[in-house]
Amino acid sequence: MTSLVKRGLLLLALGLALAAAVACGEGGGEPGPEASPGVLAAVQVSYPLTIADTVGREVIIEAQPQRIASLSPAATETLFAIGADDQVIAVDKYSNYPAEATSREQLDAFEPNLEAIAAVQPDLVLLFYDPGELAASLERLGITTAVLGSIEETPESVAAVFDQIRLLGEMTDHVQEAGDLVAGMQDRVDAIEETLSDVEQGPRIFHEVDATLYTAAPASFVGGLYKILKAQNIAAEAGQPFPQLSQEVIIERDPEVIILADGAYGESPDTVKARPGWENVSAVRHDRIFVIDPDIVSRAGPRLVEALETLAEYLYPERFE
Amino acid sequence: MKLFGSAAGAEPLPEAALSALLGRALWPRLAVGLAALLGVALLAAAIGPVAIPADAVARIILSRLPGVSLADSLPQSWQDIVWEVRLPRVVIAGLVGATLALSGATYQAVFRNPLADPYLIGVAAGAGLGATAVMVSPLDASVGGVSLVPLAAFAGALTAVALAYALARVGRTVPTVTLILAGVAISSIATSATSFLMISHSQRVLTTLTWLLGGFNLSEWSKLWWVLPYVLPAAAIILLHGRILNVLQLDEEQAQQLGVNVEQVKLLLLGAASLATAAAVSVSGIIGFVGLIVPHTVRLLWGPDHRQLLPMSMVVGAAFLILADILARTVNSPSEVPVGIITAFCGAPFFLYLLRLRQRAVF
Amino acid sequence: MLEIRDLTVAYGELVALRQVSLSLAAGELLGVVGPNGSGKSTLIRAITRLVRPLGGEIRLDGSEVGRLSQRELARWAAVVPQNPYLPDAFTVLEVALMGRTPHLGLLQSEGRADLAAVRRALEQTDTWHLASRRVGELSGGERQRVVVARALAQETPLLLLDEPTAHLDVGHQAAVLDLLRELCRREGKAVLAVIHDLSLAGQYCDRLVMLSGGCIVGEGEPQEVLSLQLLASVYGTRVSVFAHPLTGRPVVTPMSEATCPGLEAEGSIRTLGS
Repeated sequence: MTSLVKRGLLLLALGLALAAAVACGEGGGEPGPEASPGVLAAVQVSYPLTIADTVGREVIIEAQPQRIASLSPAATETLFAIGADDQVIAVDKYSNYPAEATSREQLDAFEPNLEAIAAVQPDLVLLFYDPGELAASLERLGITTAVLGSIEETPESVAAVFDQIRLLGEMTDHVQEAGDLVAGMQDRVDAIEETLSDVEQGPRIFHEVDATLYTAAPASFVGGLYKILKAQNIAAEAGQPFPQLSQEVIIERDPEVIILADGAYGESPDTVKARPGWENVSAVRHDRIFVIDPDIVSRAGPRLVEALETLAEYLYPERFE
Repeated sequence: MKLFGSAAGAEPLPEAALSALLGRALWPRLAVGLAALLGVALLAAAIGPVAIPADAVARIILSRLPGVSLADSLPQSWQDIVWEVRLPRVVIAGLVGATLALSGATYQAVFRNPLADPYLIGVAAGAGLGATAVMVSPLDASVGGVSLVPLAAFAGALTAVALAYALARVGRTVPTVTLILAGVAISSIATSATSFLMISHSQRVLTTLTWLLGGFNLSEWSKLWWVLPYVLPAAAIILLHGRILNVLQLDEEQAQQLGVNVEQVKLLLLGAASLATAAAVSVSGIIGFVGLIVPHTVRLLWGPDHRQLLPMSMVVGAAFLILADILARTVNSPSEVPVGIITAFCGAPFFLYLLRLRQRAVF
Repeated sequence: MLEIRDLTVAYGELVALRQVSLSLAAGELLGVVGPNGSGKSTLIRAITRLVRPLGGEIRLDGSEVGRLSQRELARWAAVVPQNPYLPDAFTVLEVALMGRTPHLGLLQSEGRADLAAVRRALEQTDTWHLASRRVGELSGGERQRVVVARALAQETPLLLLDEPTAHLDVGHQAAVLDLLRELCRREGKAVLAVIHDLSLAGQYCDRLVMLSGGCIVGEGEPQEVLSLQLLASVYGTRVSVFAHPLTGRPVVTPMSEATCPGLEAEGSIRTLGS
C-alpha cells in the first residue's frame, strides 16, 4: 500500500472510532419535555429512543424515522422547519403549510382510516388528536405512534410549543435545528415582552372565531397569546376555552380591537362595521378591526411567533411596526 | 273548561253559552293573551346578560317615538343594545314562536295526527342541508352584504317539501300517510347529507351545529323584513280556514261529503304552513318542540276548535319562545345556550304536568 | 229527483256495481237491501262522487253529478255514512254544526239560522240534551243519532243513509225511521236508506231495491221484492216471510232446519250470507 493510502485508512479508522465512541457514549435519551430551554444539546440522538408523548404514552422509536406520517398540521410545520421534511411521506389534508407539504400523500386527521394510514407504511405516525384509541390500534399493527396533543386548550402556550418542537427534534434526530429554532423563537418572544414591559394593561380585545360570535377565552391557546400581550380579553371570565358570546355583551364591553379569525368565511372589517348596534363600539369607531389567519394562532408550531408578532402589531401599532 | 252544568237534564242551552260555544269566547281570550304576550315581550327587553335597569329600557323604547327624547343621558351602548340587539331579538323570537306553533297546529289538523310537527315533511332537514352547504363551502357566505345562509336554508326547506309532495302524489290526490312517509324519507336523506358535510368540514362543526340547534343571537331588524312577507299571508290564509280545519277532523270522506274540497284545502294549508315555517327556520335555525307541544297545550286548555286553537297557539307560541330566549341568553352568561335546548328542557315537564292535571281527551 | 242510469263502478279489478239504474222522487223513502258486499255502500259513495264511475250517469234534478262542485253537491245530498269516524274532543253541538258547512262561506261563522237548523235536527234525533257532551263520551247509538242530526242540519233535499239503524236500540230504530218517513211526507225530502234489517225495510220504505253482486235483482214495493224465492236465491238461505197483522207489510225472519224442524226444503239449505 502507498503511504497516502495508509494515511487515508488511518484517518478513516480514527474517524470511525471517534464516531463509535460518541455513539456508544450517548445511550437512550431524555424525555423531551424535561429539557431546559435554550440549552442546545449538540449531540447525536441515539436510537432506540424512548420518549413520552404529550398524553403520557411511552413511545419507543427504533431508528431515525424515514417514513413519517404527520396527521398534525402543527407537527408538519415543525418538521419542515427543522429540516426533517424529506423524512415526511404523508400528511393530513389540513397540513397546508409550507406549500411543499401539500405534495405529500394525503390522509385524514379527523376521520382517520386505519387502513389508509397503514397502507402508506409509515415508521412513525404523529397525531394531534386521538379519536378513540387510534394510537392503540396503530401500535397493535406495529406502527410507532406519538400523540402530540392539541394545545388548543392549554394556557401555557409558548412553553408548550417549544417543548413540542424540541421533542420533534429529538424524535427525528434534528436536535440542533430544533434547538436553534426554539432559541430564535424565544428571542423574538423576549423582544416582544421587553417592548411591553412597561405596559400595565393592554387594550380590550375581542377575538372572533366565527360569525356566530364564538370567541377565544383565556383558557384557549390563542387566549394565552393575548395574555402574553397583556390584552384584556372581553371573554375573560368564561371558563371554557371557546364560548359563544351574546351580542349585547360584546357591545357592552366595548372592545378596542377586534381580531377576526373567520376571514375565510366572508367576515371582514366592513361586515363587522355593518352589524346593527355595533356602530359605537370603539373598535368600529376607530377602525381597529383586523383579520388574522386562524392557522397561525392555533398551531403549536414555528409560526407561533409570527402570530404573536402580528397580534402585537394590531394591539400596539405605536410600538411595533 | 266547564261552560255547562251536568248534562243529565234536558234543559235547552242558554243563549250565552251557545254564543260561547260558537267561538265568540275567542275575542276576550285573545285580548288577554295578547296583553300577556306584550308583558312578556317587555320583560324580555328588560332582561339580558347586560344589566340595564327597566326604567332605562322603557325610556329608550319610548324615545323612538317622534318628538320624545328621554334617553339622552343614557350610555350609547345601552341604547344600541336595547334597540339594535334586544328588541329585534324579542320580536323575531316572538314571530318565530308564533309561526312554529301555528304551523304545528295546522300540520296536526291536516294530518289528523297528534305527533305531527312543522318539520314532518322535510322543512327542517332541507333547511339544515341548505344552510350547512353554504356554511362549509369556500365561497363567501354573504353577497353584497346579504347573508346567503338564510336564503339557502329557505330554498332547501321548500325543495324538500316539494319533493316529498311530488313523491307522494297518486293521480290527483296526495294520501296523507304516503306524504308522511315521503317526508320522512326526504328528511333522512337530507339529514345524512348534512351530517356528512359537517364531518368532512370539521373546522366548521361548531358553526353549523350552532345554527342547527337554533338561536336568536344574531337577530337584527333586517331579518324581520325577510320573514314577514311569508309569514303574514300564510298566517292569514290558515286563520281563515279555522272552521274548515274543524270539519277536516272528521275523516276526509265525510269532509268531502260536507262540501269541502279536501285535496285543494290540504295543498293550500300545508303549502302555507310550510312556507311560513321555512321562512322562520331560515332566520332562527331549527328550534324543536314548539310546533309540537304548544298546539297540544292550547288544545288541553281551551279545546279543539281551530278558530280558537290557531290564534291562541300563535300567542302562546310567541310568549313561550320569548321566555325561552330570555333563558338562552342569561342562564350561562356571558355565553349563549342554543334556544332549542331550552325549549326541550322547559317545555316537556310542563306539558306532562298539564296532561296529568286535565286528563281529558287530547285529540 | 235522483236519476241513476247504467252506473258501473269498479275498484281496480273488482266490479262493485254493474249497470245499476234506479230513480228516486221527492217525498219517497227508498230502501236499498242486499247481502254484504253487494255494492250498497258503493252506491252512496258514487252518488256523492267519492268514487268515479266507469260508466253510466247520475243526475240530480237533471244536473249531472260530475258537473257539480263539491259544495253544490253537499247542498243537494247529505250523507250518513256507516261507522263514521268522529273526533272525540268535539261536542255534539260542534259536530252537528259541521253539517252547516256547505251553507257557509270561508269567512262566515255560524249564525242564528244555522243554530236554529242544528237545534231542530238535534231535537228531531233526541240528542239535544247531549249538546254539550263530548262525542267521545257517547254510546254507539248516541253517536249514530248525532251523525243523523248532522245530516239533517245540512237541510238538503236528498238524504243518503248507510245503515242508519245499525247500533240503535229498538225504540230509537223506530224513532229514526219514523223521522225519515215524516221528512219525506212533510218536507218532501227524497231519502235513500241502506238497511240491513229486512223487516224494518219492509215496514218503512215506500219502495225497495235489492242488490246482489253489484246488480239490481229486484225493485218495487216491499211485498214484491221481499218474496221467498228472491230472498232464498239472493241470501242463499231459507227465510220466512209473512205479512204484519196490522200493516200488511212483509216481515222477514231467518229460518233453518234447526229452528223449524219438519220444514220442507225447496232445494238444499245453504248457510246464510254470501
